[in-house]
Parts: sequence; C-alpha cells; structure tokens
Amino acid sequence: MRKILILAASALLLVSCRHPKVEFVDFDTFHPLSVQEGDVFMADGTLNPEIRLMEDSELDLEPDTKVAYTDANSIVRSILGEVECNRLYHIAGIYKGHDVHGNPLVQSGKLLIPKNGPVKNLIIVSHYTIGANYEAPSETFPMEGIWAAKGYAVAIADYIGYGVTAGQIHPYMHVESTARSVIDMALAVKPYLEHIGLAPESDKVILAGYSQGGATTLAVMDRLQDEYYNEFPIKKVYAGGGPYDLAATYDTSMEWDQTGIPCAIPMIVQGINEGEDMGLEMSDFFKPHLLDGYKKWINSKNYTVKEINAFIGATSLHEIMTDQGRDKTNHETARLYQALLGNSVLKFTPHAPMFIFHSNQDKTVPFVNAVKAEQWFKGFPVTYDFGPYGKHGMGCVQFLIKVYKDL
Amino acid sequence: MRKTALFCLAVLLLAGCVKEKIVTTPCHFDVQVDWVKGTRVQFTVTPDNPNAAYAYGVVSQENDVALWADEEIMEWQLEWMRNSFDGMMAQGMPVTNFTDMFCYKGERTIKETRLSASTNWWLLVFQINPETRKSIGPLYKQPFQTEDVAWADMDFSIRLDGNRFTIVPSDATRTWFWEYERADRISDVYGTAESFFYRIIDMYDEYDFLDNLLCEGAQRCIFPDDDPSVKEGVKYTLAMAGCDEDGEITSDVYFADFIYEKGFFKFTSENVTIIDR
Repeated sequence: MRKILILAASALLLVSCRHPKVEFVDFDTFHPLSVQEGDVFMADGTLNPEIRLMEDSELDLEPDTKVAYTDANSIVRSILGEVECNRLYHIAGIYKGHDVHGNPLVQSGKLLIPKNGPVKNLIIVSHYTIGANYEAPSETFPMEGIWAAKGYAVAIADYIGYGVTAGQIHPYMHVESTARSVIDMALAVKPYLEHIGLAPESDKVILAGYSQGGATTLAVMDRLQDEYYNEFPIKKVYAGGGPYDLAATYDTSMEWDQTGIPCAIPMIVQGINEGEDMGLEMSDFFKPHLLDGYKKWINSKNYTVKEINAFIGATSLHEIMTDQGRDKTNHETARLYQALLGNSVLKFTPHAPMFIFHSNQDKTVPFVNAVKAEQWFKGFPVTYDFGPYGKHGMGCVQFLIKVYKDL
Repeated sequence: MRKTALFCLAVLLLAGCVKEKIVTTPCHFDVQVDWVKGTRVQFTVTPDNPNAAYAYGVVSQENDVALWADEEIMEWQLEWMRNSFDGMMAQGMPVTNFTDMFCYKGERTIKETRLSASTNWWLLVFQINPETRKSIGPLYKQPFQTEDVAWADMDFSIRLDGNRFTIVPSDATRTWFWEYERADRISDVYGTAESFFYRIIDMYDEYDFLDNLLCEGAQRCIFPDDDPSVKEGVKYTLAMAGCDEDGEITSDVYFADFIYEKGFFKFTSENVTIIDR
C-alpha cells in the first residue's frame, strides 16, 4: 500500500512538473521532468504510431519515385531484425542552455535510452524543422529516437523557441545559438548518464541530424572539434538533406522563383534577424499577406510546417517576398545575404568520418546544398550518398534507416 | 501471404534503390567549358551514366605532361590520388573510400581559379573504375586560354587607435578586398593564409556578392562593435590585396596578425606598415 502511495505521489509530481515555468536554475546536469516507456515496433511488426516522422511539406506537383511509393512504414520495417532493445525510456527534462546573447537560459530536450542492456555511445541529435510546439522532441517520441533501439543513448535538444522556451522566437538557422543548444544538452546529459549508471561504453559521440538538423549537426561538429575535443571525441557524423549553404539556397530558390517550404522564408528572415540582432524590418521582405500573418502562424507555435505553408498559400517567391527582398543588391537584403553566408556551416575541416546524404529530387532543401558540401569537403573523410530518394520527407525516412543500419 | 509478398517487394525495391552502383564499363562524358574570365574557368561535366565515377584536372599546355600520351596523363593523375589515399590510410587517418575522396558522380559544374594568366590549358576528364582505381575509356580533353589581368602596384598600412584600426591602401582609386580569420582555423581549414584569402574571394565571387564587399580608399574597422565574435587574446590573421569585381587579385597579398586585448589591438606583420598612435 505504501509503495502504491509513493508511486502515485511520484506520478503526480511528474505530471505537475511537465510544463515548468523556470526562470533560472543553477544545475549542471540534465534534470528529468518525466520518464516514460515506449516501444519502437508494435507486436505486429509495425512502427509505433506515436513515433513522429517528418511530414512532407513539398508540393504535390510532380509524381513521386518508386521509392516513395514504398511507404515509410515498410522501409522502417527493414531494420526489424537489427533491433537490440525494442523498449526505450524517454526522459524529457531541462538543462542549462544559453540564449542568443549567450546568457543562461533553461532549455528542454529529450533523452532516449534502451530499457535493457548497455549503452554503446551517446548520439547527439539536432532536430529537423518544426512549427508547432507539440512537435518538439521533449513533447513527442521523436523519430531519431529509434536509434536508441540499437543500444545507444540519444540526446535531442529542443532549440530555443520550443519546449520550455516556446514563448521565445526560434532563431531559425542561426548557427551559433542552435548548435549551442545541442552542445549544452550533450554537456548536461553526459554527467546524467554517469549518475544513473548508464555511462556509454565509449567516450566517442556520434552526431546526426536531417534537414535543419543536418546543417546544425555540421555546426555542432565544427564546435566540438574546436572547443570540446576532450569531452566529446567524435566517432562519426551523419548529416542528411541539410541547408548547409544558406546563400546558395537563397540563390537557387530565387532562380526557381519557387520553394518547397514557404514557411522557411519568414522563419529564416526572422530567425537570422533575431540571432544576429540585425534590426531588419520584416516589411522590407514580406508581402502584406505574409507580413500580417507570420507572427501568429509561426510564433504562436500552434501550427505545423505544413499548416503554416497552407496559411501562406503560395509557393512562388514573388508572391511571398517583396521585390527588394528578392534582390540581394538591395542594401537591406545584402545585409541579410551576408548573414546567410555567415550562418552557412561548411567552412571547416572534418576530422572524423562523415556521411552526407541528400535526395537529388529534393525541392524543399535544394540539392545544391549537397553539391556545395561535396565541393568544400572533397578530399576529406566524407562518404556521399546522393540519389533519387524521393522528396524531402521520404529522403528523411531513407536517411533514418541508413544511419540505423550503419550504426 | 499477400502481406508477406508486399513486404518482400518493398524490401527488394528498397535494396535495389539504396545499393551503391559501381560502374566498370566506359561511359560517355560531355565536357563543356562554360566560360573563361581572367584566370578562372568554369566547366560542366555531364556523364551519360549518373553512377559513373570520374575525376578532372587541368594542366598547362606548356607543361611536359601535356605532351604525354592520354593513358600516361590519366595514370599520372591517378597515381597522385592513389598515393594520397594510401598515405592517409597508412597514417590511420579516418578516410572514406577512394571514390568519395577524389571522384564525382552525376553532372557537376566546377570552377578552377587562380590559374596562371595568359596561358593555354587542357581541361582533362576521365572515368575511373572504383574497384581497381584505374581509368576506364578515353581521356576527354578541352582546351582553354586564361586571360591577362591588370596588375596594380598597391601596398597597405594599418593605423591603430585603441579598439579601432584603419586599413589604408597606397592607391585610393583601385578596389581592394580584406578579410580576417582565427589563425588556428586558417591552418586547419585552409592550410595557408594565401589559400584562405583566395578561397574566401572565390566564395564571394561564386555567390556574385563580391561587389558588395570591395573597398576603395581607407577602411576603418571598430571592434567589437563591428564583430562581437572577435575573442580577446586570440590570434587572428588579416589579409588584404587589390581585387577587381571579377575576383581577380591585382596586387601582392598582404598579411598581418593581430590580437585584441582589453580594448587594444596588437598587430605584427612582415610586409604591412603598422602605425600605432
């Protein structure tokens, strides 16, 4: 009876702590707020429907490839025979991070670990672009969590603007702050794993991410090599479908006058402006419909990427952006463009093996990003996997499985 | 039963699509020189098989190698790649496979920059068998000629004043470019300060953005107002040179190292005059 009471009290505590309003704490490790259990595969071999896969936000203008016709579930099932621990602990918690100015900020994230068996390595994941807060890693069973089923601890930080910081603007594609969030979470998780007796067998970490997470992963790699090579020696890095080169992405999108992810336009302009403290006027970049609605659509964190795209209601850039916003010779746009160059993530030397994946049919994150990565990293220990892997979302599933199999 | 069959089909489809395709038979390559501007050339390689691995090179027609037989030229290029790769393997460096390190697959538009001016060149493209690391098929050769570049006699001095410095070119009528980076990053990422400077100019030129960054006359820089990322006590290298709107460097390149400490700059340089008030 006493046991039941303690359990009930613990459960109540966990529930009440789920959405804390914490201004400042002085802890140096990951502080769990809720612990749950979940399976990767159901008893019938299907993927747990609670696992949140990336939605495909691209236009349905072109028929998909034969790969895309094979549904995601079937693809994911190809790892069934390689699952070492189907049941995972999901630990949502908070840690001491930093805001865009480098000041202390309580942030949230999720740690996934196999319920049984040792932990091989820590995988530091950077998450893909989300819109709604209920998609934040700390709030969901994130898709990258399935890697834990192969015997790894998977740490996924909520970027600034999600989880317990949902009230803040997300500094979208601002390299320094997003990479900082990911590293801060890893710094917090490391002693926590030791504390709970699940220190990884190897000190070497694995970095991984797709889309926005792919670009952030490279930024994290750069910083870990530069500043944390003792704490986090890197075993391998997996980056997929990433906008590594924001300036080339801008140029390509302008050339196409088309984007597969319209919500990225206001998110990037606002995010870089926030992160770099540039003082840009959004009216210089957004046409009236977008200008009127972007704050509600994006900053409320109530809507997914697909829903925001529907609100914007256009995919042609001339319908979304002002003439001067599409002209990088314009003074204010040139300032933004230079910031885009500064927030591109390719100007470093990879010292650990890297795997770069990109579908050459991707219209959400143009393939030019992969070509630019190849251009910068040629001659370094990088394996490239470019092919007709379908649209951005389907490419994500392929990436997920390729990483799983390679781990 | 139907479910199992569908599942097997899906797995087979997936396996068929993700398996790395190795091409060991000769393919055709369309090699097009898109343009030549000053000392730069852009070309596009289009293989008729997107999975064919190929490499490229440029060699001066004045070089003895240009007189060799095609097979010897390809072998000469391949030998360098094999030696580099095997050397890295021997040193235990975390290398990937030979193809990913040196070859391309699919259509690529590539720029070669900083070639000697007013020189005749051969652009070379050839297919490689990733398994044997030997060439397959013919050598594709395209001639091109680099142009002359108008040279300027320009040098630089730096005037220090607390948390600001001013770069002063000797010729106020010509455009010039400057950039700086952490010294340790330059050696890690670019190898040398020259490579760093060239690469950054090429990058801005490639984005058609160099115009926005060229200077004329003296340029004043205030820290950390202009760049809050500059860290105290860290050594940076500043590079500057005459540069035109096409990205051609029109003077010697000048370098200076600096450290920012407690609101003051300390500069050292072998070829730039430092004027400390």
